[in-house]
Amino acid sequence: MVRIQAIIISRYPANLAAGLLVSFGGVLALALAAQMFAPTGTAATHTLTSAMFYGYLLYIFLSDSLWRIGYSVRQDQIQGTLE
Amino acid sequence: MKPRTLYACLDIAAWSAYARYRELASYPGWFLLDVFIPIIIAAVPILLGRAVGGASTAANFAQRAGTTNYAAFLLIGANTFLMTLRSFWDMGLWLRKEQQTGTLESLYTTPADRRWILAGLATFNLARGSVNFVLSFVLGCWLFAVNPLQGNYAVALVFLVVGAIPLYALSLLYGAVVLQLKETNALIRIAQSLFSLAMGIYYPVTVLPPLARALAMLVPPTWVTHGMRAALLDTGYLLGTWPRDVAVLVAMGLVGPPLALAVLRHTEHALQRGAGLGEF
Repeated sequence: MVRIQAIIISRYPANLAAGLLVSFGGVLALALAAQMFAPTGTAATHTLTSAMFYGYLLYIFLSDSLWRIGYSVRQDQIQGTLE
Repeated sequence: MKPRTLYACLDIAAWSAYARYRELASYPGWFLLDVFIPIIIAAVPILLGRAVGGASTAANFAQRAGTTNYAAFLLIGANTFLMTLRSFWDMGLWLRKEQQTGTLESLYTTPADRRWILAGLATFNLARGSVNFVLSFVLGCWLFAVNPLQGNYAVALVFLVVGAIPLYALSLLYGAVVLQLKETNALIRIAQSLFSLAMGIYYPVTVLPPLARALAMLVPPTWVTHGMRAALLDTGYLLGTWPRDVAVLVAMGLVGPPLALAVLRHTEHALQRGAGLGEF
């Protein structure tokens, strides 16, 4: 099953690159936005950026785990391979 | 025989724009979505900023961006970002859709010059984008209790109009990449991420590290966003005065379209040789 998923993902390299860029690009843009509002010259800015990154990584991990399982089951159902 | 007179060429552009209008008029929900999306894009950092900055939100923002009016600053960024994305969607998706439905090959055999078909599409997209920009900006200003009637609107309009030419040239380059790689969604997501970082939706590009700032300066939306903000919120122009910033956009507008058309033509020829134009 892991191999199947790896093959499918490797068939669409642009999609893979887009997924990575969207994840990190989005959180980086928001982290930079948050820095605009933080007081200057304090460690709070770095703490906030780090917290956002770690929070986002956790969110991506959980969300991807749930979506990928649900989506692949549905995909198998649509393709007729689940039965 | 290709149409030679200006009237005939403008007629092609007008019909191309009308066809796109008829297509989009069937989905009025998209119009509403286009008005609300920039407000949502701007609302996220506004609420985040208020949570981070507390009582000194505006003062903290002003230290880095040069204005206390962060809501208008972010609304301008979000709207120019959506205009950029929309131009990419309309050009890239249109080419891809024509390719998928099999009408792109047919279009190439008609006497209509493709440049005028694309000019019609771009004009309609610009008109639609400008209407959405105004509605979204006014609605956003009302929601965040900001006065929208401030700054130099004439100069802001100059940036928008002059910047549209290199912007559509860029979207044509994107269209060429879409034709070649045939992966519209992935490419639009990549473009979305890169532009969200490069053009400074949430921040002025001057806060970026030197290399990132230099790369950001190569894309026209950066100059449009920064110029409009400077004109409306007095945040300062990238080269000191507005004519210099506009001159950069004019230069991009002179180089961009011929370059984009040459790349598109090269891609089309390469695909036609391999019989890939009508395939999906």
